[in-house]
Amino acid sequence: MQHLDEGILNALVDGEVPSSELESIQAHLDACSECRARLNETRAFADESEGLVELIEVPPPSKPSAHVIPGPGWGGGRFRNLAWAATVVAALGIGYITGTRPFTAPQDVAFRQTPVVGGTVGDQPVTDDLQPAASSEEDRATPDRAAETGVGERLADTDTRNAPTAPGDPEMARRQDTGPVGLADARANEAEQAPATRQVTTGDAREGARRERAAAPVAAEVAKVAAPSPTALLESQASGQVRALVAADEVQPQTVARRSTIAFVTVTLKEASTVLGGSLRLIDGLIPDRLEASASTVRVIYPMMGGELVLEQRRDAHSVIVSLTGPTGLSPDSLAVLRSRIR
Amino acid sequence: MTDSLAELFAQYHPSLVRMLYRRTGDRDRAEEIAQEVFARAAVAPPRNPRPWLFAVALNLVREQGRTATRRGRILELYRAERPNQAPPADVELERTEKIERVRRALDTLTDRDREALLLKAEGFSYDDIAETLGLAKGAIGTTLGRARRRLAKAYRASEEEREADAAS
Repeated sequence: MQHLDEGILNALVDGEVPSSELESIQAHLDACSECRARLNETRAFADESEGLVELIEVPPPSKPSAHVIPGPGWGGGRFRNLAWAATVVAALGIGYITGTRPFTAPQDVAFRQTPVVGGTVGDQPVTDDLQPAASSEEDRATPDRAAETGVGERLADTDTRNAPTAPGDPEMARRQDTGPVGLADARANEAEQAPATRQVTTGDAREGARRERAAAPVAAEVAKVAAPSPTALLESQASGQVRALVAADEVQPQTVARRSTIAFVTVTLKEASTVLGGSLRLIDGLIPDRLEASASTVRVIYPMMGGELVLEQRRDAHSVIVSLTGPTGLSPDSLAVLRSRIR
Repeated sequence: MTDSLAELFAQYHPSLVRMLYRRTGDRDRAEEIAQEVFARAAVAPPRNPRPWLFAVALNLVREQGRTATRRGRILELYRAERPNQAPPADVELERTEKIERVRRALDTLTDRDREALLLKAEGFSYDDIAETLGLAKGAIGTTLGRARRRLAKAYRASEEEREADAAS
C-alpha cells in the first residue's frame, strides 16, 4: 500500500485537495494509522509555523511617512531620514568650531565635549585616521544634497552665528564641558531673541537624553541577539564606495586636534547608513552603544575600557573616509587589530 | 484590469507590506518596495493583480539581495530605542527575542520555501502561490510541507538552545 506523500497531506490540511480525490484519500487514511499520524504531524507543523509567522507584525511607523515612489540612490523615502536628522541639527542651532585651528582646551575637557575620545601614548593622542582629516568645510552637506533639502544652507547659517570662540573663552569651555544638552541650556539666555528655536532645542535635547538612557538596554538586547555573528549580519553591506584602508604607518596623530566639533545627533542604524549612502561599516565582533550623525559624518560608538571607541565615517563627493579612534590607554597595536576588523 | 489602482492599493497594500516586512525585516524598505510595485502596476496594469503584485515585490526583494534584510533586523532593534514606541521593557524584550528567533528560523529556509510560507500566511491559495512563484501547483503542498517542518524544527531548536543557556 502506497502512503500519502507530504504534498497530499499538506493539501489536505489546507483544504486544497480536489473533491474528486478526497474519497480515495479518506479511504486510505481510514486504513493506515501511519498516514493518520503523519497527517496529525503535518497539521501540527502547519499550525505552529503559521503562528510563528504571524508573530512578525509590521511595526507602527517610526515617523510620519508619505507615499513617495523612491528614486534610485540618494533620494526618495530614504533621504527623509537624513532630512529629519539634519533638521534637528539645524533646529538645535549648534555650530561647529573650525577644524583648522588647534584645539587648546585641556584634553580631558575636550574629550568630554566631543563624543570622540582619543587614546594617548605619552602626551600624543593616538588616532587611526585612515585618511587625512578633512577641514570643517568638508563636513558640510555637499551642494547637490544641500540643494535637495536646504540643510546645507541652514548649517552654513548656523556656522556663521556660532563663529569660533577664543580658546580661553570661559563660555566656550562651559559649552565644551556640557555637550549638546548643556549647550541647549546655555543658549536659553538667547530665548528672547529666538523663542521658537529654544522650544525646539529644549525638546530635542530632552529626547536626546532619553535616547541615551534607552541606548544601554537596547545595546544589550542587540548584543544578545546579534552576538553570535555580527559579521555575518553585516558581511556584505559595505559598498564599493569605501576607500581602501591605509596602513598603520600613515597614522596622523594631529587628527584629534584638527577634528571639527560639528553637531551630532543620535540616529538609528538606518539613518546612519542613509547619511553615508548605504555604506555604513562596523567593527566585527563589537556591539555599538549608539550611532551619531551630522549631515555627512557618522560616528559608530562602542563602549571600551571605560571610554569610547569611535569609528567615524565621513562621506564626501566620491567616497567615504573611515577613521578609528580609541579610548585613553588603548595601545596602538590593539587599535590596529580593531581596525583590521572593520567590515 | 477591472480594478482601479486605488482599489488595488486599498485591497492589497496592507497584505503586501506585511509580507514584505516579514520577508525583509525592514518596515521602510517594505513600504518602499510596495510603492514601487504599485507604481509599476499603474504603468502596466496586471490582469491577475494579486499574484502579479506579490511576484514583482518578491523579485524586487531578491534583486536587492540579502544585505538589507540583515541590516533591517538590526534596524528594527535599534528602533526600539525610540521613546514613543517603547512598551514595557521586559515584555518587549521577550517579544523581540522571540521574533528574532522566528526570523532566524525563517532564514534557515530556502527563498522559495520561505516565500511560499509567507504567501500562505497572506491567505494565498495553492493556485496563487504557484502563479506568484512560477511553480507547478502540484509542487506547492510539498514546498509548504518542507517549509513548515523546517521552520518549526529550527524554532524549536533555538528555544531549546535558549533554555539551555538560561539553565547554565
